[in-house]
Amino acid sequence: MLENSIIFGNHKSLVGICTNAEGQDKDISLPAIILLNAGILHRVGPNRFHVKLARKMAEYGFTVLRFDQSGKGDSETSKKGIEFEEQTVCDTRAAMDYLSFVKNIDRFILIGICSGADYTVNVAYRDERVVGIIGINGYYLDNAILESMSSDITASIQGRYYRKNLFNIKSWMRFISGKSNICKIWHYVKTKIEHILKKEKQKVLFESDSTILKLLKNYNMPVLLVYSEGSSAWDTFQMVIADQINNLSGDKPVIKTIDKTDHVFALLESQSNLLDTVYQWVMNEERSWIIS
Amino acid sequence: MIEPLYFGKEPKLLFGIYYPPRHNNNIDAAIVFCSPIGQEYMRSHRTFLHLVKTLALNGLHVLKFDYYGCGDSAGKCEEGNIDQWILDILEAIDELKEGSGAKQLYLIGLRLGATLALLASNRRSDVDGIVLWEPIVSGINYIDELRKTHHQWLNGSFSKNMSKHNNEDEEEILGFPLTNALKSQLRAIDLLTGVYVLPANTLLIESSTNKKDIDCFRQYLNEQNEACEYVNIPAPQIWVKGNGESKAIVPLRIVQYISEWLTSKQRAC
Repeated sequence: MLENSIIFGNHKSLVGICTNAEGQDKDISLPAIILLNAGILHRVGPNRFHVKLARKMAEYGFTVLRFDQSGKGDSETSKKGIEFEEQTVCDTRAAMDYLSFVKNIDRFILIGICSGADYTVNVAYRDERVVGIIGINGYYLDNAILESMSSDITASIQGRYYRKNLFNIKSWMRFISGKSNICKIWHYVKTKIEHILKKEKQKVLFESDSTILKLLKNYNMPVLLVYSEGSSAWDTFQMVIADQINNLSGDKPVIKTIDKTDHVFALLESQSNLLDTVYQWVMNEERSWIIS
Repeated sequence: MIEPLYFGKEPKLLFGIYYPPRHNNNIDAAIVFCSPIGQEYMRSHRTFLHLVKTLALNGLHVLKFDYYGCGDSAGKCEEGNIDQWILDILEAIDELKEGSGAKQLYLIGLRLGATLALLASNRRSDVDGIVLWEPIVSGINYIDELRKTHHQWLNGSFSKNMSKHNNEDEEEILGFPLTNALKSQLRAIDLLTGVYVLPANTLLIESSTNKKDIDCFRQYLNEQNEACEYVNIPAPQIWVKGNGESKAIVPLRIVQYISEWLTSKQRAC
């Protein structure tokens, strides 16, 4: 396996690592994979997950690029003065331009975790070279909408957590001995009571509020959405996206959940499960991407 | 312009980024950064980057690199070990000295990186100075501390039921494996029993307020007649996962202090 450090973009300000299987450097029958930053973490990804994923996909024959967007990791901050979301699209397109020029590849699969998942959708909506996306624990909502829902989302994930531990003796022992986080429990109970008293309903969202729904409605491309059980992204999906996905015409995205894990897959077994989930999906979709 | 590069020998290639001096102010010194490991590496990356850029702006040659099995370097996480990482630091020193032509060489390390930097500096005579930022004094205490943080973080997480990884043979800490080989090497680390020769310029930084180990280490160095400058700059423990503070925090006072200390050493030369 070959790993090369690269520096690219208009001002040579973006830093990335390109991974290829040895001897398959010029295989252009497959699209290339581009991994986008998860939050403010640099290109190695949470718990070095991007490195593991890049190497596994490269072993199969994919060219994989993981890079730092402007202002993240080792890449310079852009001097263009444009909105951050817009800059992310520009940077990812620069990564695609680079691979097109150097590797002669013009189709791309984008993969992102958390805010990285949101970026995959933004770029796919704007660039037809994207032929598939994998969003891991993405929210796919405007920040203002997400903020307005934060109380519901928090109550939802806390409710799931308490229901899951209802029959767990250790949890009850912690509660009785005063070691539980009482503030969290109180917040959950208070929010639930408020909902009942005010007969509040969850905020009504439209299809157009969710970037992923907008993408799926307008473009037909393979999409994998992965959620971890312990991520509030899963609650957001249930509250906003799940029902509306069923109403979509055309191919539906594949939804996978990974149990017993947190938002960034911090335990090794959950990282391994995520790796297998992504790999299996790509293998299933491979035929649709190969140029004969 | 910065220069990302792979260096060292196949198959243990190391990834690094060379930051050249941003302007020439007749400083002829180069700095190798020695990162912590595991989740602490992830959490401190942003701070290190800030420090690297500050030093390059001050006219220093800087190399930030990843140990074998860490970050962007070759190898799997479980292949990393103390002996290898010390060799990696020595390799990085050679790479930077050759590439920059700088005559003076300094090491900056945080947490286990500081300890590794100290151990590496004792294997060669061309290290002019070293910055030890919260070094790990006792490997045994370090493992205990990591385990405690890991369990605290698991408590209240959806991941807590996956406890099969918490046995002694197959242990993991905050997303990274802690192999038996690494554990036994860590347990052997005790800066209070070895004989260390400190470089001419040594700065010991304590940033937490309750670190008995660092006090003992200072006392030990005094007993050994090894002189080092010491400073306590209270700052958030940026390397700790789940302490409720943002990952984006950079302890600017410490960055500033290190930068000024290094510049003053250059002026003295």
